[in-house]
Amino acid sequence: MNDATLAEQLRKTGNLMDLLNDEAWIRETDADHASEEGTVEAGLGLQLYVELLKNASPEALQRQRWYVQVLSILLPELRGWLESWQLGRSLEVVYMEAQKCLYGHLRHLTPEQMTWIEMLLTEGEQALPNEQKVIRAEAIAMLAQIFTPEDWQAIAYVASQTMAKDILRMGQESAVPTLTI
Amino acid sequence: MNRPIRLMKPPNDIVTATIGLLTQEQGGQIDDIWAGILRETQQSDASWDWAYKLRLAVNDDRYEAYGIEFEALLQGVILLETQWHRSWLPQRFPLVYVEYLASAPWNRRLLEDPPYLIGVGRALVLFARQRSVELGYGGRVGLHALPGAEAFYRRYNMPDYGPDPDKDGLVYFEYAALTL
Repeated sequence: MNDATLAEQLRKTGNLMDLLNDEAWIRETDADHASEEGTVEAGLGLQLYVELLKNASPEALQRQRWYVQVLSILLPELRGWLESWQLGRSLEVVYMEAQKCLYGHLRHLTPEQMTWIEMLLTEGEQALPNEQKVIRAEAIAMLAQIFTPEDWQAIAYVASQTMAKDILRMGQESAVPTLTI
Repeated sequence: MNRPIRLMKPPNDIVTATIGLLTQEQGGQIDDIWAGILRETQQSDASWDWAYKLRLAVNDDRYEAYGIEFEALLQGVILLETQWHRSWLPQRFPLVYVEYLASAPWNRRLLEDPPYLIGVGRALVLFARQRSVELGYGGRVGLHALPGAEAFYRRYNMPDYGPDPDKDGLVYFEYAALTL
């Protein structure tokens, strides 16, 4: 990634980020995979983060990878499910609250849920388009089973709080002072 | 506006991620997923104010926070300061300063496992340079690398200005303007 290459890209398209859509350039630049295997962090405020990673046990990092594999499948399904509810401005906070509920449950799965998750991960390793994944097709049904009435209460609460705040703010912003001439 | 970028997913796939303004939801993932899962075993009460600072950036024009997302998970984050910082060169040119640049914990090699994604750090650095060009700073970017990250920035030909005593001795790096 030298300046001559970047200058050439700017002359060609005006956007350096176009290099990141050039598969040949990516493969050539990543030929030495060691380039991204260590610390890349910048900023004094990140020292605690880097310390956290340095002090994490291999088991904790391995378990985190397991969560990442599970969430990389379940989060898109969860988001798509919530988007279908047409929540409008509340979608983001609802999605955030639903994620927190999901993380909590992933720490304490029942044996049946764990079996299903393991099948989901095994299916995920196959080079199949998502539409052909049978276990993945059950994701929304499984999420509905995992979430408890208390979860739905918590999710509904944040949605209502957000809606109320937005209505009050918009109402106040819309108030126009009356001018008397 | 989110834009697609391609990253390598070992062993040999090229996947499409997106980079865009950091959302509140993505910021939440830093606490819950990047750190939360690891903190369970460390019993650490370490203050985690940098994720909070990312969220503050939403209300401060000087700062711009961006995230790279793939499969609904935040993979990398960058916080830029765009108005106050100046080059270490005598001419004191304006530049984009990287307040924070971080890649998710799983994008590092782990024992026998390769990184989950390769290229996140590089994509963020390239993005900072592009923002610098767009802001009229010619591609000038400055940052302080954390210990262990100096080799990464040297590998991408970023000039090294040595340790900065005002930043706990962190090495300061700065890209000059691109010559067209």
